[in-house]
Amino acid sequence: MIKFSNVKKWYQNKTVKAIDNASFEIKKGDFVFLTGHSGSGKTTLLKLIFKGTNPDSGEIFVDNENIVNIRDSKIPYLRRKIGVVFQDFKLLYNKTVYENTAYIMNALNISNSVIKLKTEKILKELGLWYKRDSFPHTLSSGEQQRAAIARALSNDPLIILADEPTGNLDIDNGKTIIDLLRDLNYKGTTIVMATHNLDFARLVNNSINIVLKQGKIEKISG
Amino acid sequence: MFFFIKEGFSNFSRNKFINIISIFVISISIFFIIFFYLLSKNIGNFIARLKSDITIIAYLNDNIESDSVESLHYFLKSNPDISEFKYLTKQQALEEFKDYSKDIPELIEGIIDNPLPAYFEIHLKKIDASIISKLLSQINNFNGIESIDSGQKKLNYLQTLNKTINYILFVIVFIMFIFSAFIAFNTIQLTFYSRAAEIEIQKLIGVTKFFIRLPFIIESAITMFISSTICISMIYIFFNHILHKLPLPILADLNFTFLNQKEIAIIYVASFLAGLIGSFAALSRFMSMSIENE
Repeated sequence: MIKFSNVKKWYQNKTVKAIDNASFEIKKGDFVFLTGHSGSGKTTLLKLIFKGTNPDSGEIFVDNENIVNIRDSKIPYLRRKIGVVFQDFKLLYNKTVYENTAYIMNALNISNSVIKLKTEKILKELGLWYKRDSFPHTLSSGEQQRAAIARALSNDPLIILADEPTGNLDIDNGKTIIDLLRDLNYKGTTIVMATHNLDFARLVNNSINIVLKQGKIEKISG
Repeated sequence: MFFFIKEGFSNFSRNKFINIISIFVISISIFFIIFFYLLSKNIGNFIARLKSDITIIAYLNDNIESDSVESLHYFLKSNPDISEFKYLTKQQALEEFKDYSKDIPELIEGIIDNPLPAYFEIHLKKIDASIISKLLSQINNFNGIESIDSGQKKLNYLQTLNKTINYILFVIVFIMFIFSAFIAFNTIQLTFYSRAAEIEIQKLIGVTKFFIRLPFIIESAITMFISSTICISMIYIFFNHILHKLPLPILADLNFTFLNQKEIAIIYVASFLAGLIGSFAALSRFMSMSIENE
């Protein structure tokens, strides 16, 4: 599903090494944790997968497609295969929870009746249906993160990338988010989650742990 | 398409504050352009009216033969550049003078012999220097012409005045246009800057550029439509309800006319296009930025 081959990424005019010769493969249905200290390259690695940044060298395959040299116009189509959940939620703040969830489906020109059914189903599953008309700033952090997951799920992505999704949440809300991601993984979605909290990684059986240190893959276990 | 229009209106109402500021700034910019345009148009109309008052007076010698008067009469009647003319004999000229000067009886009492010549008063269909010049040389070829008051000096003066005023107002309108376009573009860009995060998120979740752009463009079109409407209303109130109440006698002579339907339509279309181009250009800057650089 995702394959990195000798990927290197530098920042600040090639003075700071973010990813150093990373090679690994993530299979369909895997639940992968990217762990490591702050600045170890977790976020960069996720950005490389959804083409939020480009590598300086190496090859990256997503769903059997080499994404390193794809045209700018193709990037939205790559990102539709991937649902991204951010630590700071990145919800559209002038849209309600319902509109945030339905937004990408409108972009995909899906019929209104399907959008309604699907949005209702997702929001009910995530316990946010009663908050459907609320704007993000009126929600708690846990609710905002669930809304972000709802949006990420709305177009049935093959992969979910979660960048420290529990970073702004308390333990209970963090566990709820992990449970949600675990359920999605059971249904077949590939999950790649960056976290510095190894306790969360222990909550998911059969997960793979990629440990990063100063941009290098130190260990792959699981 | 319905989704985009709905999004455009929804975004407009949910970003009220920034949109109200945009409308205010853009309305003021458009106001000055239209104000100076209307000023130019009305001064032009005024000068055109003054020009239309220009007549040619051909004074005749006292001893002119009736055949010469007849032939001049025939020439004027058959000339296609002349809209109308009238002939006054010496006696009729005196009567007209007396009638004109009836409030100054001393002036009339002083007249012993009729000093006034007979004359032709000629009105042209089109006031044009070359037509006047041609007609003057033709009339001068007739026998018994004493002198001709052609109004050419007045015409030259009015034409120079018209050109000067038009030039000054054109420069003002042009400067205002550049200034307004700059202000409007920056206002639109500021609006988008305030929503850069929104655009970034849309890009992150896989929305195409077209899908991001269209609601913003519709939002800009709404802003420009409201701005134009406010501006036209402000100018209408100013010209129709305030200006003529000012104690300036020249305003009565100027007889101001407001924008016609065609001009109003042009303002709306131009504003819409300006909003379209402005928002497209402003958005293109955001679109070309990669997430890496944001």
